[in-house]
Amino acid sequence: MASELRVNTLKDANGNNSIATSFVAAGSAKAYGYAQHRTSTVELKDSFNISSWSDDATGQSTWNINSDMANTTYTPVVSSSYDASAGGSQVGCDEVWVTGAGVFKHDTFFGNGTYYDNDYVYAVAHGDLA
Amino acid sequence: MASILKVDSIGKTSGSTQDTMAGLAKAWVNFDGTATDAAARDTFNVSSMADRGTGLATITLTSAMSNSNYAGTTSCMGTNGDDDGRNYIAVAMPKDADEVYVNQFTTSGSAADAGYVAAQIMGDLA
Repeated sequence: MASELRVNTLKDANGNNSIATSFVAAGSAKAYGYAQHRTSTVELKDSFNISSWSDDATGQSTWNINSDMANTTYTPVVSSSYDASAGGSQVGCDEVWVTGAGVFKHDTFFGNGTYYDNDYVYAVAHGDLA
Repeated sequence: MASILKVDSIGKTSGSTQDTMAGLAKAWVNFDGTATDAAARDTFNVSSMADRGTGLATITLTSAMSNSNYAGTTSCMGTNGDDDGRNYIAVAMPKDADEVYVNQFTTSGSAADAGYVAAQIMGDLA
């Protein structure tokens, strides 16, 4: 049976650390994902509310959200790393932009603008669901 | 009537639980760093934005954090919607409990206003 709990405020069991339930709704990540973009096994390795991730070209990928956001002004943030070798990572940058309520894109590139692929690409999106 | 639910963790009917309060983003914003006062397109728990100069924006939170040790993450683009920009970076850092600095610069290190900046704030509310 589906259940519905209606409250205004959450507190811990001692009655401390109060937080309004508005933070639960608006502060919950609406989607996240971990993609491996560099090595031979290019794939989406873990995700929540991501229907697919595509390797568009070197350093370029598209994230598709399963349950769409309410608009195109939500806030996806992506960080990435070249590989797991300590001190061996390439110096690079990430750029992210929204192209639709259910789509955002991500580029990785060196400081000189050359695209490259990363092994560890982590994305989190906050905003309001449709 | 206001209602209060007192719990330490929340989880599904099977599997592990989690500290729901700590894991929530306490603020997020999508803004245009090139606009006057770094105009916000969409926000949560943000009362205002300010432009401190080229590449320098300030987010003021509605409900403050408990300290200035919280975490900020960002992504950005020089031009909103540019699918081939590859030249901008942004960082978010606590100024104090209710203000966050978001600095934007080019990959060559020059201060610059970014047309699209997304920032998320994690930590404990006051």
